[in-house]
Amino acid sequence: MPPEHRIRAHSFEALGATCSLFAADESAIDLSQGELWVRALGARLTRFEDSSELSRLNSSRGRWTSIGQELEDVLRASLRAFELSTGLVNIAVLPAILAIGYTRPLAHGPTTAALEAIDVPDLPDVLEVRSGEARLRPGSALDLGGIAKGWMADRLADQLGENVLVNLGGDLRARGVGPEGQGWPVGLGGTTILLVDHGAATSSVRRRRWAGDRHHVIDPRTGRPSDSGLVEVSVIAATAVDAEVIAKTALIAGPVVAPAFCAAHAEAWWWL
Amino acid sequence: MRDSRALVLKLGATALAIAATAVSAVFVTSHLKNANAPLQPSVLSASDPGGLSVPGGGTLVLSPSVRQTDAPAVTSTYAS
Repeated sequence: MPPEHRIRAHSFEALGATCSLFAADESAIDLSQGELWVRALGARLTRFEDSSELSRLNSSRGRWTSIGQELEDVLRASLRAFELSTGLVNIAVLPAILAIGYTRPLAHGPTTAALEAIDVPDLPDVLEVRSGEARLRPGSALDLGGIAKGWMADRLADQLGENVLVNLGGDLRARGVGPEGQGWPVGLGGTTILLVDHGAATSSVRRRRWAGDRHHVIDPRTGRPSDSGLVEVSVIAATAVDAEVIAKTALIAGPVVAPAFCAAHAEAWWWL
Repeated sequence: MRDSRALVLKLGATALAIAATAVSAVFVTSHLKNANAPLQPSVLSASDPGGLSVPGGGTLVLSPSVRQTDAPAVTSTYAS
């Protein structure tokens, strides 16, 4: 008979989404400490605040800029994501996102869109990272988007305890065997999956839509919102950031490439 | 005497090389690549992933390391 543990839960709004933390481990730290960590780091990594670390890098005009360890780690994860996705996951899409009117949190509404598509440069061509510093080519700008949420979910799960589940706006990371020793039961694509030391994420063009065909998932090959034929992909992988990258790659790559890509990189996947 | 021994060694080495080439050629031609061989199981299976249709729509594919459950979900992955 597997052990059963009482679940502690804590939910809050941050990163423009609902976040939830769960612990089935009596030794796990106070979950409200996790909320404070998410809020503090989210404020440093957002593109919507001029004073954030990311905004300082975006406006650094080609100079080497001092960055904290967390931003350095997320930037390195983003460079790896670019390689894994053969360029389909590219945080240098921010100028293209701004061009289609996503200039502020969508709760405040979109702004006027440009008519012309913006060329998206290859991330390794515009971003250099070294210990404690980063340099961005003038004219380029970064939106950490889902990669930051996935990375934060992975780090937070490590900090909270041995048997915990972190959900940051849909990017999940499970640690341990869950409340009943079988895994953490998590909804994915209309069914429930048991996660044991897994990450999960969903990428979709059904959310954050405006003006009919505009949405926030940019295809770097065109500089325009993705129109691959897939509308939503959910993935389970080893970590949340891996799941995020695989799901977005599959979504942008489309239904011909996505099955083979997911088969090669994911533990489970659902697409629509 | 020394010259004849060197000649024998050269001829022997040449004969060995020719024999190895011939045997290899016979082996390769008799073991042509079988396009139906399961060389990449995960990728081949992806062309026919055998996914499950789920009630909410879409296709679900699970590897052996991931299990479904009837237990209620504590949370879900979703796009935000």
